[in-house]
Amino acid sequence: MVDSGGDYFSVDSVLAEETAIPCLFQCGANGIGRALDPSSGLEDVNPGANVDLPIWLLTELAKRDMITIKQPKWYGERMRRKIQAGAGVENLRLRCPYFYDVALLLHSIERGPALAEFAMKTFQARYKELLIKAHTNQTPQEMTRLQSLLCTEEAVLFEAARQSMSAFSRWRFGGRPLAMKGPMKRRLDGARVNGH
Amino acid sequence: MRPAIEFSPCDLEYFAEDETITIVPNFSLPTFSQSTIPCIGGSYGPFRPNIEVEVPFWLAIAFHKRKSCRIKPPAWLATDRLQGILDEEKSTAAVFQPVPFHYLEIAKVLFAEAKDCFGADMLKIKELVEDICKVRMSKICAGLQVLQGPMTVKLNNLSAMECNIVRPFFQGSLAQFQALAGTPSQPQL
Repeated sequence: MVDSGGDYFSVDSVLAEETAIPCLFQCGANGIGRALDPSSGLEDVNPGANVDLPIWLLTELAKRDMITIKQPKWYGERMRRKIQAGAGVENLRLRCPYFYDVALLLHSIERGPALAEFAMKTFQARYKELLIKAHTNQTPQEMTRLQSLLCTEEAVLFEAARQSMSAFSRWRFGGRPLAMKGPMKRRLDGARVNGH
Repeated sequence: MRPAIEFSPCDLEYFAEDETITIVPNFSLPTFSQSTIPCIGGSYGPFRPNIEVEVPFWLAIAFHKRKSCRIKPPAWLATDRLQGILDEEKSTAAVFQPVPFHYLEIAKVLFAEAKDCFGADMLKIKELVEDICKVRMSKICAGLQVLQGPMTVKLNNLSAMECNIVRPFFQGSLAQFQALAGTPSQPQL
């Protein structure tokens, strides 16, 4: 954990480093075929093999020039066009739950400006279209729909805003937190039991 | 990303109780203590019947609960003043009116604990505070919308409660913007 960049104590950072990135092996590796991909028939990895590697492994291998990192498809040309067309409708959680963290990690490995710029643009657009709605009053359905689109980093912000907003209105309008009630007992014919 | 340190609305209500407010006591304290109450934060008083005196909010509420004083609502908590603030607030989209820092908290506690001090205007005043809060919230949202990078957004004259509502989201967004913009320094609180 000397210079891998992530925060050692942050679960999100650890999970972000688990994201598998497609890579191309430049040289062979002996004996790890089954470890990387249990369904692989071979013990060794041949030069030129396409493998999905987690970022924590990829960092070290890329340093030794053993692999070439390929563009994951959620940062690809198609995705860029989609984001440009309408950032607010794209479901990032489905594509890559740690969209921004992974972008930053890859950026720190590759040192190309394009990826960070794309992530910045995406966040700007989605901030404007989705995140800003966290403070406003939306119907529960709309809220659920919005939340299902957000990737983890965005969801943290969104949830923070929602919570401070709901704490405020609970304080303001004197609502109590919902008491946990057991399921109300009903007879099959619909009549109430126990005089309730 | 760690969630920011946050005060709950109840904490802010507690802080607001340090504000001073004018009361008219209907009791007197013995003269050997100069009719005052010595407290850690200072001595309050003198308390003499029908003589106005300025005390902290918490003391006023405590007296009022014992029915030993009449609370005079603050000057800004009156129909015409609030109406003025509301009109100004609506007409100038970019600027927030300077309202008392704890206006929401004080209004809420007074509405709950000392309804009688407003007389007949109570409902009207309550409505006006509500409207002001709504207008300001929508302006805050509009202000947050201009955020496009690790830079400042001008939101002057926010009250304590409003600051507290936007704090976690605002801080988190700025931190995210900063991370993506590639500036190495950590965001300060």
